[in-house]
Amino acid sequence: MEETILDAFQQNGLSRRAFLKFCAATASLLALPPAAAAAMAEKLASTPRPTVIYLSYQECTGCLESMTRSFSPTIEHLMFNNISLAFNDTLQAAAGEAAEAARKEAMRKAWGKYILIVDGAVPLGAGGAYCVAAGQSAVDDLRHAARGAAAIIAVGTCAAFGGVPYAAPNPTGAVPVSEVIRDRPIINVSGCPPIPEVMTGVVVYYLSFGMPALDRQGRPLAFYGNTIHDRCYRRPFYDEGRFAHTFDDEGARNGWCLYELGCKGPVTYNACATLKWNQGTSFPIQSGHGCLGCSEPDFWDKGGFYRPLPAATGHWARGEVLGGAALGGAVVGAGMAMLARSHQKANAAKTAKEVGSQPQKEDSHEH
Amino acid sequence: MKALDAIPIRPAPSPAANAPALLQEIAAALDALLLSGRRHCIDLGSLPLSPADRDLLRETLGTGEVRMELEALGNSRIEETGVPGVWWVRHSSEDGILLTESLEVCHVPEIVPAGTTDIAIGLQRLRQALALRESGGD
Repeated sequence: MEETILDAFQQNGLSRRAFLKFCAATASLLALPPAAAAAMAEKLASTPRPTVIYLSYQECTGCLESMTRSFSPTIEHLMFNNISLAFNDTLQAAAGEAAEAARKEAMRKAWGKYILIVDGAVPLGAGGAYCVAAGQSAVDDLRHAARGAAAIIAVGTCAAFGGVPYAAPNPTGAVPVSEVIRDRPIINVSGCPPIPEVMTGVVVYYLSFGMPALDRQGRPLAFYGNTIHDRCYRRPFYDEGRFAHTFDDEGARNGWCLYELGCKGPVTYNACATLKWNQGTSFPIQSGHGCLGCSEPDFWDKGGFYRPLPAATGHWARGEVLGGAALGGAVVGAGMAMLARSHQKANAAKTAKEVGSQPQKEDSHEH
Repeated sequence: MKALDAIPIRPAPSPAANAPALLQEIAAALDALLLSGRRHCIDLGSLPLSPADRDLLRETLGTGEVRMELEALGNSRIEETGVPGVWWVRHSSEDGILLTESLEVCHVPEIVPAGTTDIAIGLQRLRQALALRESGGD
């Protein structure tokens, strides 16, 4: 008989209250209504512990570093109570041929049922030679592993959207997971790195309810449903038209809005403003720095972290950005002047983009 | 350090933005509790709350008669506010980190009553202890 998640809880001598508390904390993390917390408790109590295979390709291990610092639920909790982490080349004790054999065996046993977590972009250039482990290229490895997966979680902006390896001029021909695998459900958990609790939260959500509702970038709406700007504690200053113009001016010291210092909060969907980082301590804007927009596609190539938002970038329709970010608040006086400036900047940035980065990107995809 | 201290940092107080709406929601939830017994829970972690918001909530709701501490997977504090039926619930982890903070509108939060399985396990332990006593053990 397969061991369920509640069995694991009870074996650890934990009471119903502890289980309810775990569910309450996780449901709160997932922005679920309390009724869903009860449903989650029931579902988790009867679900067999699934096998999880965690594969790393073109990545810096920052995502795993982040994930191991999750405090709710902790990675230990996940590994010992909720999942059976069958393969992760960084966390496991085995190495070399023993590790590869353990992975093959785990995949064979749970074929068709395991959750595949992919961390990092996949290089297609030079026949996949830029990323090879145990004699197999990342792209071949991913294709094989995906065939046996029930679902794939693309962790980090590299796996979700290509991230830094994909940035112009993309010398290795890197692509996101979704460009290699098209016949399996993929959940994109973007961020550079993603918030640790978002990564563990998505795994627990998948175990409880299956596929979460996704936005058009394939990201779970529970975490990526609002912009940083919408949930920012500095939003009232934006609405009042009070901005910092340099990092050491009156406005910066007063903790005013960082829009004019290049904050990408208005066009970045992520949970930093509410979940925060380092166990709920702070997030970039609270520390006085604008959002870099790291959970959005092509964040690296958007024309500068300190350049105030050009109206149209990437997939954002220009009207959408201006409508959501600038017109949404009570913009009067100074706000209108700013709006006019951002129009100019938008045009300038658009021209720069057309002239600069586009041709390089196309080159890189010809590998 | 001295030079850093000399830089005047004066975060401007944000106005109370969300607390008034939350108080309205609590009033509606209390209405529903009286009429149909329906529980309601407001997750404070998912809302941007300024210090002014928190002060307004604390001030308006006040302090009630019941204060409980729960030790399960870390500490939890469950306090009734001055408005009966409104509970301020804070769950912390074993490391003392706040996991979730919510306002629960109900007669008593669901986590408080002892669970049937836990009662059965406890009863079993008690019976074993009694049997041990009767058989002349410790």
